[in-house]
Amino acid sequence: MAGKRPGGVSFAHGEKPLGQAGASGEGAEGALNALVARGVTKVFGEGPAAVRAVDGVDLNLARGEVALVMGPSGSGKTTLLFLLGALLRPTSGAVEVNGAALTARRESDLPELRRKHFGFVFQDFNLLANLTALENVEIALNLAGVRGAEARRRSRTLLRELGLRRRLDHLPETLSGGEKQRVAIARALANEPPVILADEPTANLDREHGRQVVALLRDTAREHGTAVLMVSHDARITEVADRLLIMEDGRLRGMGK
Amino acid sequence: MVSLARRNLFHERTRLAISVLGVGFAILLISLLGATYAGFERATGLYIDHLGGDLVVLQEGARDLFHSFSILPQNLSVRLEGVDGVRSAEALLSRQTEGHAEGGDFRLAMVGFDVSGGPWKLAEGRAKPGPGEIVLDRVLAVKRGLSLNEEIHLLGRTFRIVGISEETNLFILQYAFIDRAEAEGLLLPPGMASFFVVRVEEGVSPTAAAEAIEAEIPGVSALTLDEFRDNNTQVVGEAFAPILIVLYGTGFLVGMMVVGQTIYAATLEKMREFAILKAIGARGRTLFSVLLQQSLLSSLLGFLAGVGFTAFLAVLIRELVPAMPLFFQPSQFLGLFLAAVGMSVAASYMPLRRILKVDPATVFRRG
Repeated sequence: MAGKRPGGVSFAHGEKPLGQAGASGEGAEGALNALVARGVTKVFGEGPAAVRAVDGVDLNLARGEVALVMGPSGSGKTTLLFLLGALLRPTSGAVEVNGAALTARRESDLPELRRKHFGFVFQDFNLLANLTALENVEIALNLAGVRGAEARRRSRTLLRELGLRRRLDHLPETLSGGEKQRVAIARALANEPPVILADEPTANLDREHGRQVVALLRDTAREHGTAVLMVSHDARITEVADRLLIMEDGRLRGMGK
Repeated sequence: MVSLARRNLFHERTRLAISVLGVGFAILLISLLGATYAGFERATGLYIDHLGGDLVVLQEGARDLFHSFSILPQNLSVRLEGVDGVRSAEALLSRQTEGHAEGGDFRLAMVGFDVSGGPWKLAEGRAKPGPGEIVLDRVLAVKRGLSLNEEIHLLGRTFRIVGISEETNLFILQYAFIDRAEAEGLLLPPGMASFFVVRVEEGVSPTAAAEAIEAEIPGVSALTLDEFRDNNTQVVGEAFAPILIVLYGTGFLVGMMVVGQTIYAATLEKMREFAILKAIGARGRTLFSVLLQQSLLSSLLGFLAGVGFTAFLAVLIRELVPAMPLFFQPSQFLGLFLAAVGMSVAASYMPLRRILKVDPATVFRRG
């Protein structure tokens, strides 16, 4: 597939994009970061029972970068993923993707933002059970307004490139775990998002399929300039990650490359 | 867009079948009720439509054939024909009575006629009875096992059946026709008539002629055929409308509940998938569209099933209960189709509220 730089969105209320020169944090030198988080905090509940699931997280994720967030269960990794992917609203702080401020947007705008800027890969694959592999990818394109033969062509191309040429008309129940995850990756890539967020992408896969999936995500980052942020307990993923981040008690710290 | 709605709906065939049957029976109930009411209304108006004149003249205050009594002297026809614009006036005698035959007793709406006011469609025999002869309705004939040349008894006289008429059934009783001369002294005292069928001169407005008649002849009501028909059918409406409204409403609610139950259950089952769709960027209106498509498909299949059930049952009813005056109109099926669509939209409301509230973050595990 030919690489393509995803387009940005205009800034909200005259804000300077967090990812430009002047903001602190790690990231590729001189490049606009794909994903930027500043002081992102999420508190559940109120008063003495309040839980600070994510606490003042700063993060810059460059285009083409693969970052891995590891940490014990309950450390806030998945909550962080929710917040970065506009599936949860932070209690405070800001998130920008490709220069677009997510936190300033209305709730009703978020589905379109997710569609344009994010691809999601879930631990449980989360494919639609009554649709074939091809249709599971096609529906992501339909949601973005691509329909009919064009949607089918692009879906077919993606799945073939991911080695699923003979599985296009199969329902998820007849696919192996690795095949399902590849369909999920194809769906995540369908709208050429600048960022892919993956939650434990290898958790339900055997060693070989897990390795293949991780390699796919890495190749996607390299070839398409897509920023990939993975949350995982899987130590094998550290081999492909450009940066390792550790989440503990809601706080994020870098461990370098 | 990929037809997720169709796939989800047809994936659970048993549930779909139950939903289709439920809606189908609701449609059947509504369509049979509507056809019965339309049949009553039509049957009541048919006789008047075939009277053959322009006006009906009755005793003042009388409005219809069955719930008000009218008696006028037959020689009133001379005065009527003397009114400007009136071409002819023909007396008819009518009365409800009981008849007897080997098959049992029955009620009749008797008509004594000369030219106008007789049967207009025959199944067998002839339309104009002579002395001692009678034309009976086909539904009555079938019910009582009567046929041509058999005899019935009424009001102390015996009549031989010479004709079997169609479209003269009023469900609870049927028309029967005898010669006007035979009717005199039998249905009404000699020299008396129930009402007159009046024909106006060419170019004369029936309404104007009716006004002229009422102005010149005291003690009569002159009605156009439309007015007379409306008076008769209004009685049917007043009697049946409240019951029909309740039963229509019940049918609609039943259909809506069945579709709603199916769609709600299907939605709960697929809540995770709706959450996935939200997570990958589906707006509320897209989710509503999927839900509505499922609901509409379910209702439309139910509508088709209902039409099929209705067609089958209509044939069966005509065989088993020939007196029941079912009358189906295209507009009724359009109404049923719209009712099916209405059921879908209403049934989608509760599931939609659930879907709009679903948190897409639930597709991730908590880590």
